[in-house]
Amino acid sequence: MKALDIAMKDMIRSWRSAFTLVMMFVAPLLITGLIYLAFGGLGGGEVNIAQIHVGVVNQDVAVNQVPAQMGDELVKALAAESLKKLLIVTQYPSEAEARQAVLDKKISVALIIPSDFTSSVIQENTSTTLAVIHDPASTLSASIVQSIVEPFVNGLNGSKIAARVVVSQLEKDGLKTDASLASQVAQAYGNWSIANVPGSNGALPSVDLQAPTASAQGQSGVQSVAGGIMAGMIVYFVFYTGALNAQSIIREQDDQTLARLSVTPTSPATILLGKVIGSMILISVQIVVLMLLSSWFFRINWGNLLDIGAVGLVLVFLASGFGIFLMSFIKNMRQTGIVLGGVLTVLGMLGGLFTGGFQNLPKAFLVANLFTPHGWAMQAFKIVLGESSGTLVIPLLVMIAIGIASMAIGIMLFRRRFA
Amino acid sequence: MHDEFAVEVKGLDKKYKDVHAVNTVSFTIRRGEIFSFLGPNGAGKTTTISMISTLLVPTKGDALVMGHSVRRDPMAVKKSIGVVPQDIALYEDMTARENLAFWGRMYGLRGQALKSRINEVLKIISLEERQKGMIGKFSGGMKRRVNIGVALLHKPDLIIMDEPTVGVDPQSRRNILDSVKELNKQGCTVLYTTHYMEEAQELSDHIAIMDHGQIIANGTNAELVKIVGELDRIDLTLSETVGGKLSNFEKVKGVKKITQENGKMTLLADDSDTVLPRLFELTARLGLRILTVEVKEPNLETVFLHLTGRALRDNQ
Repeated sequence: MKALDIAMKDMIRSWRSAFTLVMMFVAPLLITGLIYLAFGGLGGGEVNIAQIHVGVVNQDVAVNQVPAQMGDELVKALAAESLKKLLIVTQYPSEAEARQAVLDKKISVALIIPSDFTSSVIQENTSTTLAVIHDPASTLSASIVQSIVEPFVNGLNGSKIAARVVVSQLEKDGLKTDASLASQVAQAYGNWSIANVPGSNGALPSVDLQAPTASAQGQSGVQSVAGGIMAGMIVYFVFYTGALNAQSIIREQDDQTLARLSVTPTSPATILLGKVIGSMILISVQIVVLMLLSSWFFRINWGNLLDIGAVGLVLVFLASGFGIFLMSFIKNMRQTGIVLGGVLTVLGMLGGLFTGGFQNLPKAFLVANLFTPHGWAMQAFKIVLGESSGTLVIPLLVMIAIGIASMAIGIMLFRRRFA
Repeated sequence: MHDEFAVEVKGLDKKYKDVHAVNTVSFTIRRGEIFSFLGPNGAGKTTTISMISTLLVPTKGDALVMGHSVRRDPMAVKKSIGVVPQDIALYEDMTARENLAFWGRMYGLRGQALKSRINEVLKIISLEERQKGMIGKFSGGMKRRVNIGVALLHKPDLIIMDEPTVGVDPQSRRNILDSVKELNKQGCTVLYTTHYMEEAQELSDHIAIMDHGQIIANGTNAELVKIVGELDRIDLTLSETVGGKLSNFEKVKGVKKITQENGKMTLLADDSDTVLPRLFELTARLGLRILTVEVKEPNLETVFLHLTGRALRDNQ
């Protein structure tokens, strides 16, 4: 009963601390919210990238009665309907004017189509270069334009190879060929290529810029990213609350209330039990509130109720135990800042809490995650969110084991100190 | 254990690595009396009462509190005592009433009994009207009163108060001293530590003077004053600090002990009527000017000076 009184008193004090409330609820939601907005969370789940102003100089000319078709096709492709959300194409008569437009920041990228563009496609032993001019600050825009143009050029290169193969095959079969036949084959292949590049509708392949693939059912990419980030924030700030609550033992020691508690007929075990119960209730409330609010604000689907409930319960135990463990090494309030600001943040980074929702992370980093309790908690969340395969049992068992070990060591060290 | 004693201390000793904080202390406190520890800071008063209140484990010796050994049955000791620590040990972000309720629960009080007792205690400490105020917003004196109130909640047989008037305004100090007397009237035994001689004199039935971890004198106020016998206490305020000339004063016939602080010299002398003319003559010879002279009846300050050669205030 006295343990519950101590827990209740600690909770009252926590609810009255603006700092604790901010760290429990506001900070995790705020950080996730900012990232959510950065990924276009309020834009219906689509990524919003500013349109790129592209200046095109089409110098392509007819050679040997071959019309300058390829240059026009490329310009047409860049201005296609499917790319209008991404590109605003303006034609410039000369390279100098296009360069000036880049310098004047009227356009981000200038694409210079050379005069021998078509002829280089249809004639043997020729080559040419498409130039992309851009402002040094617009590297991303230049890369995007380049990535759009590349499949087009690859298709044309393919036509050259196709012509060579056809001509050599005919000659092998004893048929007589000439240069105009090779040009015709190349041109025919080029036309076919432009019309049939996978994913295109008679134009360029559509460029699909997406947030990481949604994995939990019914979630958009942005919501999935928000799920991973929010999970990381929950784990980080839950561990923070565990340590903050355990810190109250040190604070009571400094404030002399612990000494006063020690001269009441209350055993050290009861005092510690009260602290642990208080921490567990507080963290439980924190997890439930954060999950409810995040599923409301960011439409995160936390998956199966039973699974997420199990993860939440084990996390409550782990964070409380780990908080007691960390604080058992601390002698006074001056030292607690190192743990709260330093150790927990480093463990959070190593545990992958700040990279939740991101894919293609280095394998070594993912392995390093599992050297921290935070990493295991994050792993459990990833499984629940469908971002990671595997069974939930293993991370839960590891979390319970770490929780038991850290709580046992923490309580032992505190009891030794009280004695 | 004799029923007449609330506390029986036998050879209590506390050693830290290189400090002998309490050196084999023994004394008894009768039930219903106010017993004071008087001594300068660092004398060992707080360490002694910390051992009696089970906060510290003695290195040697034992203490029986209401018949219970602090070593063998600390939980029974805790139930029978109320401790008022020297520092304010309250939750600043909780109200006075919430603090009292929490600490009352720690002493096992519940429900209506707890509510009624909180109301009684609020009355004793005169804070009924401020019971819903946050401790953090209270004055130092008000905090001290709540600090005392917490120790009264479970109606303990023995109240241990460690310098409860340090840093409080005169009005709160008066209130605290009156509360101690009132509690004692109601039958409560009080163990009180202070370095204010006036408080010990006003409150105590018995006084133990502590210095360097030992009890150097123990008895009633009258018994202690008798230690200095017929000696008079002379306080001289001089125009300047005597410094190296102090030995000249020590050689004056009839002067037994001498101490000085900030130009004020305190002397213990056989007979002030004969010693004073000699002191006047000496100061004139040394080129010093006497600003004030005060001859006092012997008191606890005189006793401490007599026993240690130092004034109580020297160590504060």
